[in-house]
Amino acid sequence: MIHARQLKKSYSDPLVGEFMAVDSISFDALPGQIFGLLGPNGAGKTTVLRILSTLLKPSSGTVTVNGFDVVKQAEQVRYQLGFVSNNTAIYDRMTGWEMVRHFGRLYGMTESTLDQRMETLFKRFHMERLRNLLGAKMSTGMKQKVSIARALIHDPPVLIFDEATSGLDILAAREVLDTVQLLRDQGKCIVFSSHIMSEVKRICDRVAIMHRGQILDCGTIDELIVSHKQHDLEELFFQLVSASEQMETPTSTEC
Amino acid sequence: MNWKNIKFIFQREIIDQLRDRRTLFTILVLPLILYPLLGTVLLQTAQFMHKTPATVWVVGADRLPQAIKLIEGDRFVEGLADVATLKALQVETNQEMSQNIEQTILKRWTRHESNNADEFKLSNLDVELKRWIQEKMNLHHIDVLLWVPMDFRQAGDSIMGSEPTISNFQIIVNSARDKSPLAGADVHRILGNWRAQLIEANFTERKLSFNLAFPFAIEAVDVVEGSLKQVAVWAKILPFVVMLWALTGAFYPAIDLCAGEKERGTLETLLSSPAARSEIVLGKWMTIMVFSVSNAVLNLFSMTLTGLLVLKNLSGAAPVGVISQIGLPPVSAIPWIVIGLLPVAAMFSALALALASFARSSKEGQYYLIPLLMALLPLMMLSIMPSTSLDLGTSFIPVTGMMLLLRNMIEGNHGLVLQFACPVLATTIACCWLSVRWAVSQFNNENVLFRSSDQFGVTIWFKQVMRDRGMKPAIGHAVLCFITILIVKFFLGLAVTMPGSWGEFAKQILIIQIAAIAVPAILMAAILTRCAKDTLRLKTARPGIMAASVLLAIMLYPSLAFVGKLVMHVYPPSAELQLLELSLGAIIDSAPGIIAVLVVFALVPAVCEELAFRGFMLSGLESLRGRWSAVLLTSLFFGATHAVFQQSIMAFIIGVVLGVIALRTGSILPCILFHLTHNGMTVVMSRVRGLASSDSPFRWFLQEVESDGRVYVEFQPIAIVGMAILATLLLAWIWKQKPRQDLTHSDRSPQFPEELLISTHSR
Repeated sequence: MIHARQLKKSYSDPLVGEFMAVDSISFDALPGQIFGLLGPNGAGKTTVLRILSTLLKPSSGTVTVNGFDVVKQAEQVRYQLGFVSNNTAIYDRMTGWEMVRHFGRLYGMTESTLDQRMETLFKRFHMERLRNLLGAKMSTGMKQKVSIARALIHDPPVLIFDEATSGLDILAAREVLDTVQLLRDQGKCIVFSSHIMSEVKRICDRVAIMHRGQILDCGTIDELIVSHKQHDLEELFFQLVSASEQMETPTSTEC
Repeated sequence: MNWKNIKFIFQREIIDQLRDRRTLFTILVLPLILYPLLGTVLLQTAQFMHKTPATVWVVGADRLPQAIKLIEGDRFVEGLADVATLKALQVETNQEMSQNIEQTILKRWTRHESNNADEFKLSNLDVELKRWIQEKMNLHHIDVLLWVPMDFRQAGDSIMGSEPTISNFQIIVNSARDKSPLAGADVHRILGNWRAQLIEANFTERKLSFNLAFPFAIEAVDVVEGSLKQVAVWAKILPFVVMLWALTGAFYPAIDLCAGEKERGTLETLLSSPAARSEIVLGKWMTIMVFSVSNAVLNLFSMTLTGLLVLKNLSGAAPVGVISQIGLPPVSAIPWIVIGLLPVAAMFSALALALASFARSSKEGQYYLIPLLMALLPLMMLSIMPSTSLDLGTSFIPVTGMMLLLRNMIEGNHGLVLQFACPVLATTIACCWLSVRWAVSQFNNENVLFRSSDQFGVTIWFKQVMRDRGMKPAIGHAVLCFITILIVKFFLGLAVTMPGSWGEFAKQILIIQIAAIAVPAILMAAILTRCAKDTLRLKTARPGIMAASVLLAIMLYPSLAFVGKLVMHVYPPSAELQLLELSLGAIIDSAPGIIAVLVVFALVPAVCEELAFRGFMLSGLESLRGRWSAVLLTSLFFGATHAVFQQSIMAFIIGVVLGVIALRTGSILPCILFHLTHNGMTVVMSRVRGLASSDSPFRWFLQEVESDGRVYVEFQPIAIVGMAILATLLLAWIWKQKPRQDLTHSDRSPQFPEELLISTHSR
């Protein structure tokens, strides 16, 4: 569903000059699976997800989403995915209903299909209260619910969650994680980035551990723990990151 | 382009803005309450609008005639001015105080042996005495000191019977006090009227007709009716105010729709939707435009309505200064203004949107939009200057042209409007289109949209410059070079004075060419790039290309001279410029020989300007999307560094040809040769005499033309056409030359986004 090959993205930084935010990473994310991107802040997770969602163009390498190239077929790619991040805020001066409806229209949905789909989503996520509530008056959890409904409105085959539980209380975070699992069960291809071990451990089928723009290792959590002879994911993570810090020129692992 | 998406984005943005109380207040409510409030204040204060009382001290009042009085009690005599003026001037004739002042002044005056008391003149006072008088005036709150001359006696006694002498009444004002000069002017008028009364009395006494003193009368008649005069006033005010409101009306929504969305994180949400960037820009642009137009129109209606009501009320009362001359605003002008407003508001909205997209926060957005206001204000101001009128030249100036068109529409000059409507509309639409294109390109630039907070410091910047320097300069470096040249030229221009001789003139030109143009480019190439030689295109070219460049300059010269003549026709030089040209022409004529003139006007500019423009700047701008953009922008820079507007246009055209030669040959040597030949031709053509005479072998393609009493040599039309054809063929041949193998920006290691470079430099 998502195939990234030798993906690179560089920025210019006034202090350090050329800065490789993503350095030759390759991975595949498949339908009916949650592919986790685990890494500390600044590891390059958000850059990878922004490239997947066509917000940024890669410096080199290729990525296809459901068969469409993110550079050459950016518009088609946007129809294939729903993007939720802690940055994808909602409009303060629009109600939950208006917000989701606006994006449904941008996805070219007809009014009748849109109404039907919105009713389903608002019911499924218990968002009846948010129908007429302005974004400015919503709590962070409520906003994230609207954001997820907005990303699901066109029923995309691919969903991208970029630190989607960041800033949420434990109940709201749990609700988001349940939703992600539910979507996986519906056969969606999900890329889930986080720096919270417990979340990744709980929901991800396969995980790529990222650091300094590179994938240090990739696989199911059990596979990784066994291959690196560690007790749990947290120990594994520290071991990989420490080893990477000690290497002068670490290389990215393909997965 | 999906128009449905544009509609959805537009609808959402409009609803969003309408729910924002700050926008509603600034754009919609404020215009409706501002003018009625101002009107109320004006009406309230109108009752206090009368002449400010002022005190006039008369020194030597006892020397005034009694038969025809100047002063009656503490006022000037009735009839010498209007009632309000006479009422406002309180006259003080205290004998003791005035004698005291008089004696002190005279005492100080006669301290100098050369000064005679009878020849006393206040205008000849020394600084110390003037200061003493000023102190006295401040101390006693005196606004005007009226000095009755020592030799002035009763008119009937002194003037009649003997040869009259002219006595000097002197009016002393203290301009440090605001009302003093105004009161002084009133006293001057009163004295003039009183003098007329004295003359009349003297003439009557001598049984002469008073008309002898006034052999003729002067009457000035304005053919414009009162109401039309008032329309002319409004024709200037209304477009200016409306455009200003359109610009400010675009500001707030533009900041909120770009920087505000970035700040709130909703822009990323929108960008991840299927709407294309161009659709997002168009939706937002239309929203900004709606608010810009609404703001301007509401202000226009509110101002017109309040103006009608307030001025109607004021016109019923006593005339109040300028207000009585303005008259009521012409309601019929409103539709014209609204029509003219639309394209200009569209342009303002696109400019505001493009600039606001740079900002990361609303606060930062405000900083970016102030320069836009500063840049557009002069264009608006230009249209209300008394000397500016609608012609072919001004119709090509953005904003100014449209405002002049509106002014003429309101004044009813429909013929002029029809004549220039096309160029004005074409210019406005072109500017609008370019602005929208710019806004779209901003939204396609991830460095602009996802700009993170930059840390900045001089050391960091310097290290970064040294680290990032590539084989060629960046766009930001080229712009920096242009700005440096402009600034150095400006300061050198302030330092130099009008040359008195050929030597001085030549020295000035050489200093400006070398210090302001060549040195910055060479230094920047050496510091900011790794290979100055490649940057400045200091490469040899094939002899064939060198020869073709010389030949091209010769063949193109007649056409360029013809275009230059057209430019002079469209934008005639001012009288001052013509005078300056004559003076400089005389200095050039005094040069020791043609070689010296060729070195100063052809060789040095050719080398210096080509190093800077086709060398450094074109190399930097080459990384723009299209090479034509680089050539056009370099030519624009080249034109802008020429001080005279007419020269700038020609420099732009020549710059395009030079840019093409530089790109196709990869060397500035052919450009230098072209430039040298072109300038050399100008020098030679201004000096040749007799080449076009009837017995000259050149008469077939040269002719003599007389203009302003001077004889010029010009090319015959057949020569212009023939040589232009040959020039085109030569240019086509140069165009076919294999472009040089360029060093691309990938050679610059590491790569640095130009947008960031520009924004970093600008801070």
